[in-house]
Amino acid sequence: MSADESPPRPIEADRYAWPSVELDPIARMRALAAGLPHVASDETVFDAGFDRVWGFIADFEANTARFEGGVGRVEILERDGDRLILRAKGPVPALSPWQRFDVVLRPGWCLMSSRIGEIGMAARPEPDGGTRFFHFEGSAFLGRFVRPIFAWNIRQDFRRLTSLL
Amino acid sequence: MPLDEREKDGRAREPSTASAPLASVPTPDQIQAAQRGDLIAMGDVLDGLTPWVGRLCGSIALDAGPDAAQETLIQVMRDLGGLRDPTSLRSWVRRIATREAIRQAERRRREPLFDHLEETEGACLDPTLRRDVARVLSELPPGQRAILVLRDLEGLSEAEAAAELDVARGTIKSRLHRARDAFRERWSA
Repeated sequence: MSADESPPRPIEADRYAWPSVELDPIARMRALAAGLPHVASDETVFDAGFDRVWGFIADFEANTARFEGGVGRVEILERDGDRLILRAKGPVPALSPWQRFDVVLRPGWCLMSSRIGEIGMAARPEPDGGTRFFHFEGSAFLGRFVRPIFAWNIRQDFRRLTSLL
Repeated sequence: MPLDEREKDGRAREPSTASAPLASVPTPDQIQAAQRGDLIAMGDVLDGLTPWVGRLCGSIALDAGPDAAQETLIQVMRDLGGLRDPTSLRSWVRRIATREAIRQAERRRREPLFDHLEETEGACLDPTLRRDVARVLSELPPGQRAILVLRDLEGLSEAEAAAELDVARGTIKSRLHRARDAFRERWSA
């Protein structure tokens, strides 16, 4: 190629503010759930503001057992910024050993991972009020065939949360 | 070496400083843990990729950027386990994002622009400038926008951009020529 045919000099990219998009927590959580074929997921809209919804969800020790049927008690063991370690046991203490969970908790975003299960929750305010809430649950340990049980459990979580919020 | 000289010999340039950095570059250990299905590591990889994917998709797909970014991240998380070399994560994601952004932009080509473009904190001090860039880019075909982004924003060589878009190097060269001319012409209009 001769010098005359060389492409024009590059545009000075640093001079311009390139358009960008931001994805809300619900969109990011949907993407994350796509990488977990063994989980069940669902979403709903609560008739309560974002601060009310997320304040309730994020208070694990006070509230998780109130809407999550498989949980009887939660204790936070460590907290370092948005990273937590907690332990939880089922509603029948004698039959439920403590399970340790690694947790990431931010406004509108929560991941919980243990040896036997994975949980994700995300929320965003809706334009006309209310709060959209996305939730997945599953167990890589148990596999895909128990996904319908988790799907049913999520619907029960939504029903309880609706009455609590 | 001046940019124009590196341009002529087709060698890869250092990425432009305007290129959105990964929020926190996923480490090979994080990527491998995510590939094994470690939920926390998957979240870390997603956190690292999301702002950069948002910039790529926003600049190429414009109004269709949110859909393109979400579809890109869905593909990435779904197929991450099949990525053989963790060090190739960035180029693998860039290829998915570029193609998805062009595809979504072609679908939306006749729909109104700008509805979903977000302001990114720190990336633009003057909202008017962002709007103007979006206006200028909107007057280019999605394929030309993609070449501008890959060459001048991401800093890829001609050969790399050709591989990303699955076209011949000669095609990249001619499209880049038209894209840069068109960008400058419309910017100064």
